[in-house]
Amino acid sequence: MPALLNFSQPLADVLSKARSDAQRAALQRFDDHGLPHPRMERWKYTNPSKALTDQTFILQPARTPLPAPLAKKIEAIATPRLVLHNGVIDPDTSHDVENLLSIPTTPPAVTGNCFAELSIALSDAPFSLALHKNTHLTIVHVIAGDQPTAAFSCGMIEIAGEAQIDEIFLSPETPTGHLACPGLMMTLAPGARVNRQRIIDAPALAMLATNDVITIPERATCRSFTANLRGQLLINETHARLAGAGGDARISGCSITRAHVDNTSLVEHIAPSCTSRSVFYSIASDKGRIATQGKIHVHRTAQQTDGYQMSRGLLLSKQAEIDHKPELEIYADDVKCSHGATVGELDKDALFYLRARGIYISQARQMLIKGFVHTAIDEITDDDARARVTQAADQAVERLAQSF
Amino acid sequence: MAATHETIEQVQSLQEGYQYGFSTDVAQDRLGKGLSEDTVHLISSKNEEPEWLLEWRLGALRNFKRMKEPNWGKLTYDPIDYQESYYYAAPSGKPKPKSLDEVDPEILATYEKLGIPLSEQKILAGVVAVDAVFDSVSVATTFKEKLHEAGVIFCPISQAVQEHPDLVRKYLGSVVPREDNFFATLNSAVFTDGSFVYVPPGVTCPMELSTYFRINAQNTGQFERTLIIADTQSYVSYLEGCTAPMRDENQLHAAVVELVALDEAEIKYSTVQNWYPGDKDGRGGIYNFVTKRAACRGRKSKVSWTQIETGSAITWKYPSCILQGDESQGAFYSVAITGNRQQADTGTKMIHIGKNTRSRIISKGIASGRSDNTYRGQVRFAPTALTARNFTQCDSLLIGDQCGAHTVPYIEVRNPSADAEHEASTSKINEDQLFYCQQRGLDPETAVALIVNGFCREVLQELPMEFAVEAQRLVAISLEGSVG
Amino acid sequence: MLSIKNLCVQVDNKPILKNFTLDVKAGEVSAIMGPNGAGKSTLAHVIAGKDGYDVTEGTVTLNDQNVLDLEPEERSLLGIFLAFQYPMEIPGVGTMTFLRTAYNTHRAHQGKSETDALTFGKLIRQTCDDLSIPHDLLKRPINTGFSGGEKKRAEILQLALLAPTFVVMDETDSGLDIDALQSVAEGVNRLRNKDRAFLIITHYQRLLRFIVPDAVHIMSQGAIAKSGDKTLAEELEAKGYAGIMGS
Repeated sequence: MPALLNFSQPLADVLSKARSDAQRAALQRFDDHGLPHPRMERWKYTNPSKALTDQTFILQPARTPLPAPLAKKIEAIATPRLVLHNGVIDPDTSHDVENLLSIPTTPPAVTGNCFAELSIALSDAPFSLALHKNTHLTIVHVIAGDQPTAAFSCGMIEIAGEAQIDEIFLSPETPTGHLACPGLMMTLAPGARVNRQRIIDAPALAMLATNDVITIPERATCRSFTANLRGQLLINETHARLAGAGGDARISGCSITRAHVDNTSLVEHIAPSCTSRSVFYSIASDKGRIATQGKIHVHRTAQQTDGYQMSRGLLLSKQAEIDHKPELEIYADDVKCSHGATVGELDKDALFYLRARGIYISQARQMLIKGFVHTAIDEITDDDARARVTQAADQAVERLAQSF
Repeated sequence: MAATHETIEQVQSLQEGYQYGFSTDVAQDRLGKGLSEDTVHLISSKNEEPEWLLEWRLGALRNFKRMKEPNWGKLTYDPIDYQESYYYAAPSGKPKPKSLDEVDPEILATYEKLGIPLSEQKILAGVVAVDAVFDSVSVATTFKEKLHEAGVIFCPISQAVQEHPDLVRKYLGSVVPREDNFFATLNSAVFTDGSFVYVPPGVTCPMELSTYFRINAQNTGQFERTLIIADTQSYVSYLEGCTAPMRDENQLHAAVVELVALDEAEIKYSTVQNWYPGDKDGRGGIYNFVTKRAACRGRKSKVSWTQIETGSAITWKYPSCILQGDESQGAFYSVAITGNRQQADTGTKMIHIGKNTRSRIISKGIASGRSDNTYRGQVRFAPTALTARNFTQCDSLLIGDQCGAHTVPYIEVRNPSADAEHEASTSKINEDQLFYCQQRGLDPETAVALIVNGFCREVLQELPMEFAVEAQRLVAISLEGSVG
Repeated sequence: MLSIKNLCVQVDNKPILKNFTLDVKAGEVSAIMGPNGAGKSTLAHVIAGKDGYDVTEGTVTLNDQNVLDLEPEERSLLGIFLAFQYPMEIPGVGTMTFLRTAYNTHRAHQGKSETDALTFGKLIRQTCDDLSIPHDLLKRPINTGFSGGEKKRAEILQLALLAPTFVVMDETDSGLDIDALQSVAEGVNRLRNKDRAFLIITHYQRLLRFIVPDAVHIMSQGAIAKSGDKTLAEELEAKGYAGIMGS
C-alpha cells in the first residue's frame, strides 16, 4: 500500500519510517520551515499552500501501464532515454541508459526551497548518471494515476565533454491534480559544456516544482532553457554556481500560461572572470499570473564578473498579473552587471503594421505573441533543440489564442 | 582594476572627518528613559495636547508592543533596546521661544556652526524659511510673517495641533496610518515635534521651506513627524537637512513624513541627510528608520522626492507615492553614498491606482569602505491603473572590494495597458574617464568627485538651486580620494 | 480611384486635417508636399486606418467604396498599401513568415489557393532579384537591425509582392542617402502601371526628381493650399514654402 501525503499535518511523524538519516533530516527541515506563505520573501508572489493542502496525495503509487499513444511517443524518442515514472526509473521504457547509470558517490543534496527538501526526503530511488562521452540524453517525466499522485525524484548528473539533455513531461490527462517535485543536481567537469532544454507540458491540473543545482567549474558552460507551457502551478527554482574561473551560466526560459508560473533563479558568481546571462519572457492571459525572481549574487572573490539578466512580460488580459523581482547582490567592485525588466501589452504600432499588410487582427496578435516568445527561445543555440522548443511554444500560444 | 589600498585608506581617513560631530552644551530637559504609557502621557502633556491626540498615541503604543521589528532589509545590527532610549529631550529654560530673540544663544551658535544661520537677515538672501528642530522640539521657525501674508502655514506640528487642530486631525495618519509599520507605530506613540505645512488653494509658496533636524542629547531618539498638505493648485518646495554629534553609542531616529497633494497641487520634497554615520569601525552613528509617504490624491497632482543620503550608520527609508488621482505623477530621485561600515537600505514605492498615472525613479548608489548599499523599490500597477507608466533606472558604483551594492526591485503589474520599464546596472568607476581626467591634470580625488557628481547629475539637478551646490560639495566630501 | 472629400480629423480634440479634399486617378502619381506639421503623416495614417485619429467629417473612398469604416487589414485587402515612414522593427517574427502570411491572406481574399512555402520562396526571391534586393533581408526578423535604406527597400518589396491598387508612400525618402533613394525610386517606377495609383508624401523635392509625378499638391495647416503639375515642385525648391505660399 503506498503511503498517503497530507500537508495539513507535520510530515516527519508520518513519513520518517524506513528512510535514511539524510531523508529524515530533510523532512524535519520541511516541517520546521512550514508551508510556503506569502509573508515569506521567497513566496511573495506564489502561494502553493492551498493546492498542497486541498487534497491528500498518494505517495509514488506503483506503475500502471501507460495509454498506448503515450507509450508510442516515448518509444519514438531516438536518443538514450531515462523514463521516470512517478519519480522512479522505469526500466521497461527507459532505453540505452544502462551504461550511463552509476552508483551515487555522495548522497544527493539539492538545496533551495522546501520542495527541494521533499525531493530529497521522499524520492524512493535517487539516481546518478555519468555523461562522460559526448551524449545526447532525453529524460522523460511521467506522472500518472487515477488519484491525486505525488511523485518525487532526485538525480545527479555528472557531465564531462559535451552533453545535450532534453527533458520532457509526458503524462496522461487526468481530472485530478498531481504533484511532482523533480530535483536535479548537475555537476560539470572543467571545460565541459551542457545544453539542456526542458519543455514543461504537464497535465492541466498538475502542480510541478522543479529544483536544479548546477555547479559550473573553470571553463565550463551550462545553457539551460525551460519552457513552461502547461500545468496548474509550475515552479522552477534554479541555482547555478559559477565555481571556477571562466565559467559561463545561461539560465533562461519562457512561460506561457493562463494559470500560475514561478521562475526563481539564483546565479552565484563565486570564481572570477565568469559570465552569466539570463533571459526570461512571460506571457499571461486570462487570470494567469507569472512571477519571475532572478538574482545575480557576486561574491567578493568574483572579480571581472559579467552578469546580465532580462525579464520581459506580456499581459494579454485585464485579470492577468506579472511580477518581476530581478535582484543584484554584489560584493566585488570590478564587475559589469545589469538587469532589465519590462511589462506591457502588445505593441500597438507593430499590430497596425501587420494589419496594414492585410493580416487579420487575431492572426497578427498571434504572430506578435509568437515573435515575443521566439526572442527568448533564440537563447537556445542548438538548431534542432530550438526547433523543438519553438514548436511546443507555438502550440501553447495557439491554445491561449483560443481565448482571444 | 580595483581601487588601490592607498585610496581606500584615503577614503577612510576622510570619513573620519565628520565635520558636524560636535555637541552643544545646553541645559537639558529630559524625560526618564524607557517606553511606557507614562512616557506618552508626559510627552503629550509637555506639548499641552488635546485628549484625542493622547488617545491616538496610547493606541499606537498598545499596538507597538505587539509588533515585531521588520527584518527584511539588508541590514545587520544588534537588537535595539527600546527601554534604554530616552524619548524626549529639549533645551530647558523658557517654555517655548516666541521669537528668535528668546532662543538660547548656544543653540543659535550651533546652527551657525552647521551652516544654518537662523537669524533671518542672513538666511540665503531671504529665499528660504527654516524650522529648526533640536532634539525633540522645534526651536525656531523663521519668516513666519512673510509666509502668513501668502496664507501659508509653516510651524512646528506641536503648535499646529493647538492652532489648526482641524487640519491636523483630518490629515495626521491619513497617509501613513498610525500603525503602518513597526517604526511608524513607535513614532505615532512618541513623536515630539516636527514641521507642519499647509499651502492653501491656488497659492505658490513664496519661498523654499526648510527644516533642519539636529540630534544633540545623548542616548536620545528623535521622533519627528512632518505633515505637508498642498491644497488644490498649490505648489511648495520643502527641504530637510539633518546632523548629529559624534557619539559612540547608536541613536535612534524614527521619523514619519506625510505629504498630501490635492487636485493639480505639487510638492517637491528634498532631503540632505547627513546624520553622524559612526566611525570607521562602525561604532556609533544614527539608526535612521524613516517612513515617508505621499498621497497624490488629486487629479494631476505631483510629488517628487529627492534625497541625498550620506549619513547614518543604518538607513531604512523608502519615500513613496500613492498615485490615487488620475494623471497624478510621482518621482523619486536618490543619491545614497555609504562608506566605512554604513548600511543603507533605501528606495521607494510607486503605487499606481489612478488612470494615466506616471512615475519615474532614478537611483544612484555609491558604496565604498566596508559598507553595504541597497536599493529596494516597488512599482505596482493596480487593475485600475489604466495606461499608467513607470520608468526606473538604478545604477550602482562600487569603490573598493570590501563593500557591497545591491538592487532589489519589485515590479507588480495587474493592468495590461500599463507599461513598466526597469533598468539597473552595477559597475566600478569608469577607468577611461578617470584616466582622461588625470591626463588633463586632475588629481584622482578631484577626478573621482567629478565623475561621481556626473554619475549623480540627474538626481542633483532635481534639488532646489540653493542646495544643489551644497549637495555637490557633500558628494565630493563623502568620496574624496576613493579611487586611485 | 481614391477620393477624399471634406475630410476633418482631430487628434486629442485638436483639428489636424480641415476639409481636406483630393482625387487621385488610376495610373496617376500624385505628390503631396508640405512643411512639418502640415498633417501629411496624419493623412497617410487615416487612409490606412490607424487608431488614435478621430474622423469628425468627410469620406475616403476607393473605387467608390467607403473605407473609413473598415479595419486596417480590410483596407489592405481592398488594395490600399501604406509604405511607412518608420517601418516597425518586430523582433522575433521572421520576415518570410510575415510575407507569406500577408501574401496568402491576400490570395485567400481574392479566392485563390494558398501558396506553399516552396513556391513562395521562389516567388519572393525572384521579386527580390527584380528589385535588386539582397536575399539575406528575408532571413532576419521583420525590419530588425535593418539600415534605413534596407527598411525602405523592404517596404518596396512588400509593395511588389502584394500588388495593391492604391499606394501611399509616407516620407519614403526620409533618412536615405542618394544611392538608396535612387534604388527605392527605381523600384517604384517599375511598379507604376495604368491600374495603380500612387500618393507620394514628401517634405523635399528630391524624390520627385526620380519619381516624376503627374500632379503636385502643397499642403498647409491641414488642407491643400496649392496644386499644380511637376513644375510646382521645382518652383517650391527654388522659393521655399514661405515663398510659394506668399506668392
